[in-house]
Amino acid sequence: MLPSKIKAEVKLTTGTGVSLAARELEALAVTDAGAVGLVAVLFVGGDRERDGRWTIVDAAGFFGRNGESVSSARSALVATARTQSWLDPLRRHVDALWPAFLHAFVESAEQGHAGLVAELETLHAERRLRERVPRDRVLGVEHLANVKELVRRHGESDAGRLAQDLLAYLLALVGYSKVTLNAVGVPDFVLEGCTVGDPVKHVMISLVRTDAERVVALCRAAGDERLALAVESKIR
Amino acid sequence: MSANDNARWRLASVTIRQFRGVAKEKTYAFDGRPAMLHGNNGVGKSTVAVALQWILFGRFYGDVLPNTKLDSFLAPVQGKGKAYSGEVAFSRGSERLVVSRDGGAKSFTVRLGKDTWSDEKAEAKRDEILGLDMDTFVRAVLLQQSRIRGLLLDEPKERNKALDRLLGMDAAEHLLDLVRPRDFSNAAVAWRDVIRDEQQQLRSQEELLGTQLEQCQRTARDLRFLNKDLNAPGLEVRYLELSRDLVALGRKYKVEVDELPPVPGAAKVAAVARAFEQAVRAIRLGAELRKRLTPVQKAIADLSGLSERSGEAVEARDSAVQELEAFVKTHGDRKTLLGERAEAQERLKAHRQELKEADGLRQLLLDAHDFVKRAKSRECPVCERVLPERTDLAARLRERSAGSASDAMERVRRSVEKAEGRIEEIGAALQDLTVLGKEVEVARKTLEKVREKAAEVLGATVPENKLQARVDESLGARREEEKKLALAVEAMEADLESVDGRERQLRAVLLPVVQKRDEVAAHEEKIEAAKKRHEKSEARGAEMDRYAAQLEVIRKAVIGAKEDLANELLGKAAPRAQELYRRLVRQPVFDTLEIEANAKAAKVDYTFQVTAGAGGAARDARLVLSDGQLTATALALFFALAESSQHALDLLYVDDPTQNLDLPCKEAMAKVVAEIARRRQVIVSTQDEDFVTSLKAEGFPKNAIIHHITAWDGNPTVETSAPASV
Repeated sequence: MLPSKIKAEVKLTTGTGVSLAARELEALAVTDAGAVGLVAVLFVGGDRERDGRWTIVDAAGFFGRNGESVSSARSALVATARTQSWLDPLRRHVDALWPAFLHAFVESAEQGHAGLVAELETLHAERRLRERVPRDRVLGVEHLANVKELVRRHGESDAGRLAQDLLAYLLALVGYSKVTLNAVGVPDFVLEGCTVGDPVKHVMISLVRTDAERVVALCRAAGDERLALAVESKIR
Repeated sequence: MSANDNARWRLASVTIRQFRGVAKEKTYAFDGRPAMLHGNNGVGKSTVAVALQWILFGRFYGDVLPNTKLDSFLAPVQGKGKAYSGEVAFSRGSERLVVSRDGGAKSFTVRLGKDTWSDEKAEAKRDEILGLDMDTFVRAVLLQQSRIRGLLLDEPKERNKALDRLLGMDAAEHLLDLVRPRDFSNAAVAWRDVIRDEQQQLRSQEELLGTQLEQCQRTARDLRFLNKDLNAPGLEVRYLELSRDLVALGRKYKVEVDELPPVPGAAKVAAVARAFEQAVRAIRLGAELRKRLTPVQKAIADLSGLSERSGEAVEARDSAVQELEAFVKTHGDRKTLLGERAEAQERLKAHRQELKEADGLRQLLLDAHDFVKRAKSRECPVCERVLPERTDLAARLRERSAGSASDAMERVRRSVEKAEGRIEEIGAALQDLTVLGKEVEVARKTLEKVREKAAEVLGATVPENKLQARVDESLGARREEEKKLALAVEAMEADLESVDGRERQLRAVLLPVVQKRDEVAAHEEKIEAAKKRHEKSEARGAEMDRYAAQLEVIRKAVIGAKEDLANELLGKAAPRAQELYRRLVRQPVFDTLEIEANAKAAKVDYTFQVTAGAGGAARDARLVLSDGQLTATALALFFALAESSQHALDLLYVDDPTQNLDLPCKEAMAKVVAEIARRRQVIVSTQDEDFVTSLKAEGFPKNAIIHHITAWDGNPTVETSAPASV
């Protein structure tokens, strides 16, 4: 099941770790049992395997640490992520679509934050975000080139903000109707109004695992990420 | 338990057939007694020791001789190619054990009483009965100096090996040779090296392809292609747009062209480009504009021709007519000329008659003159009148004929010539008139043809006087039409050039991007496949590391066990070794021998030291003992270890023990051997007659069998003295 609400702090770094201010962490605290606070980090540090990929962890892992800020190395974040399987559906969605999503909007991002957000907002409202995502595979080198171009053109700080905008709407694509971006405040964005798993009229079907996995793959191939995730979340 | 169970086996005899120094067959009898084989070098003494080991065990450690096959070594020195064989008999009380080996038949048998075993079972039975294997046999029974020669070497590794052999640690060493963690560590490194090398190669290729793709994409973006265009679907969409525009152009220029086939990938572009080219050519050649322009251009060409030719034709016709008229005016027309010619012909006829007549008168006068001249006549032969006297008629006739001829005839003749000339002039004029008439006719016909052509081109017959104007007027109109059509064709060419340019751009700019993407995609798949392979290789590497760690543990355990075992053996033999060292070596300062095994990280080292009294400083034996002393020390250790070994053979076979020993040492050795021979069966083989003398002096048992090998000629000549047993 997807979280009912997502609060996220987004970092883009060319280094090998990230630091979160206490106030950023505090903003990720959630009270609703179905909600989650996320820390999402996009590394662009020269590691071929991790560069350009989002590392997403539950912020709960950072709580309880003292100090004005907490730091975490990339390897520690990756290790933490491995232990938080409840975020796997979100991670799979992001891993599967992020290169294509960035490719679709990297030209729009050249206009800057305001222009990009306006376009994303409109497309999201009109439920046309999916249309813009290319079906054709985005090559690894193209994706890395897109990420590097984003950083080169806008600088690490502004590129981080653009990455935050893009991630917010990429996650919204899974099935969140409301997107709130905080360009200067905390958290960086909030997603609400999860439409996946609503108590609509359910039907019960029984599939063997291989067939269920095929359904997921076919849904993805057809561009229905929402159904793919819904089915995938039921595979035990 | 029988009475013999506690007794040990002694050597009864060795029979050798076609083996080394025995070309035929020789049996050496020992009867379980001490024995001595002596004789000069090369008479076949060592053949007995070699045969004993070969018959019992069929093999030797390592190569018997470097680069020599065992068969070649064992074959008889004389009479090669024969199958060697032998038999060893042992006795224990009343029991008799016979061990046989046949090199030709490759058979091995053990016979004990009524029981016989063959081959593998025989091998097992031999070890069971004698209580030893070959390793123990060569360590505890058969003393050959070659076995302990390593103790004299400077190289510690070789000394360690020699001590290993003496202590029977070969198996442990062999095991340590097999248990090699480093091989597995190296294998792990090799697996990871392969991964790293392939990764480096793949990344380097990826970098190159990435750069090439980026260059292609940059070129495309410079030409305003967008990200969405820079892939196979983008290329397909662009070709689809091009196809639609091409079909629209076809409609615009009234040429039916098909849509281009879809372009699902780079591979289809060449075929689609050909279809596009054909479609463009079809529009270019089949457009209605082009169809309309062609007749206009043809009409222009015709009219241009007419415009030039019509003026020329009229002018030519008029000129011909004028010339004819001028001629007629000068010469008259044909009728007049014909009339004149008829008249002239009449006149000519009359003049010719007149001339004929005048010519008749003249002839008459000439005839008369000729007559008068011949016969004087009184009458005029012409007018027949009588002539006056003395009239010179002949002269007068001559004068008269001459006169009439010259005047009248000349006049008539001139008339004739004149008439003829006139007739000729008129003939020429008539011919000229004919030619001029024909010229007028040709010019007229030419003009007529021009007019007919003009009528065809203009669509109506045009009066001659308006021909030029109408042609020029029509030519102007057509040229105007041609100009409009040419402009339209030019616009069509621009349209076609535009789509053609777009198509060229797709092929030159977008296609390379798609092709390069395909290459990069294939390479990324290769990287993914390599990753999976690398996971397996990494797992193998980790497995190798685990094996290496496990083997390290085993190796350490083996080294520890070897150390313990070696020290146990040395400990057991130490008192006797110490005693023999003092007796055989007789070192005045370093009187104590210390040999100890010490486990190191990867091996067991032996300390082979001597000290001056108990608690004295230990020195490496190799540094303070001479080669002869070292040999004696090794022999002391050998005897001590042999005596401490547990097996069922009561035999010590000492082959040439006095090499390298000085005389006092030989004497000491003789004493020791003689002592041992009193307790067990000792067989000594030597070429050293001093040693033989010493042995006898030291009381080598009286019942010993002495084989004196006196000569060798392919077979040994042996003199045996065998006193009755005591």
